[in-house]
Amino acid sequence: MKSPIKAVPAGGRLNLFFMEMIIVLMFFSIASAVILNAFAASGRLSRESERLERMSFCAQSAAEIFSESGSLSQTLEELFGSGSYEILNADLEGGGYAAEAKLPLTGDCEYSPQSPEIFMILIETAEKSDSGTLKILSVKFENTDNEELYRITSGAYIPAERRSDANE
Amino acid sequence: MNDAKTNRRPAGIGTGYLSLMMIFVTLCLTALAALSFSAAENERKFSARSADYTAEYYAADLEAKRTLAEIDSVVSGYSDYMDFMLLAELDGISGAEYEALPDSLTVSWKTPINDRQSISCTVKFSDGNFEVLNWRTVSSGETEDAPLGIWLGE
Repeated sequence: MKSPIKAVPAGGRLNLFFMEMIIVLMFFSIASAVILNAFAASGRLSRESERLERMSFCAQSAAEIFSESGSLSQTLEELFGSGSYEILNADLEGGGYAAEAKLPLTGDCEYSPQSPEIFMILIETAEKSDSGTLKILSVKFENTDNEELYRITSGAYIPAERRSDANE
Repeated sequence: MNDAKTNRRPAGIGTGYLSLMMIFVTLCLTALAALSFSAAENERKFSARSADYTAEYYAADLEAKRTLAEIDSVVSGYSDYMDFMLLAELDGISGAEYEALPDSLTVSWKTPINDRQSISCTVKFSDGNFEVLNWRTVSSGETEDAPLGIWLGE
């Protein structure tokens, strides 16, 4: 009797065909696992670099605003609007005035207290002298495991009230 | 009749075609995966370099502002910009160059960002106040105009 399926060879060739198919499937599944890993790693790297880029831009914006204003609250307001973020203030003994804010952000650096993916921590310190105040802003990004991802430090020099009688 | 039977070819996929197809598909997928990984790795390196440069720039900017604070602190203690003691103190600030006139004092300094670039700053003091004349990124190394090697028709 003839096989109703014409694509399948009859007799010993059938066994050979199935043996080849099994070997091919095995090899292909192993190769696919390796290749899929490579694709997944590429996707992960791409997401990481995008996140780093966004953090860098966000930190750069904060640094630029702070350089002009010298104020942490104004920096936050211009960056994220007048949100409900909390600024912790402290008087450092001999080290000037310090303020700190920890903001929950999404991966796109949008303010998101509900579902934070990263945290942006801004710390303002000041070095005072008779001639003026050098304010320093440290911008740090951390993931939810408190692992540091990125950090920059910028500053603003605010001169004291100028001497009108100088050079007279 | 016998010849007709021997010449008849079996229909469908023969042995070996599957292996060839699998090799072709695997090679294609491997090439795509390698290209994708390479592109992602290059993107990551570029992002990391860019982020590092941003951090280096703002660190250098902070240092430059620290130098400005130091210079301002020195200058604010004197009323005469030609005062020998003032100029001696400015000599003590590393990298600072100055031009003193009776009514003004111009101080310049450079703060390195990295091996290739630095922030060049120039500040003019007059009437007890200061004005930033120049605050820009410049190349640290000597720049030489390399010839392009274009035939000039001679």
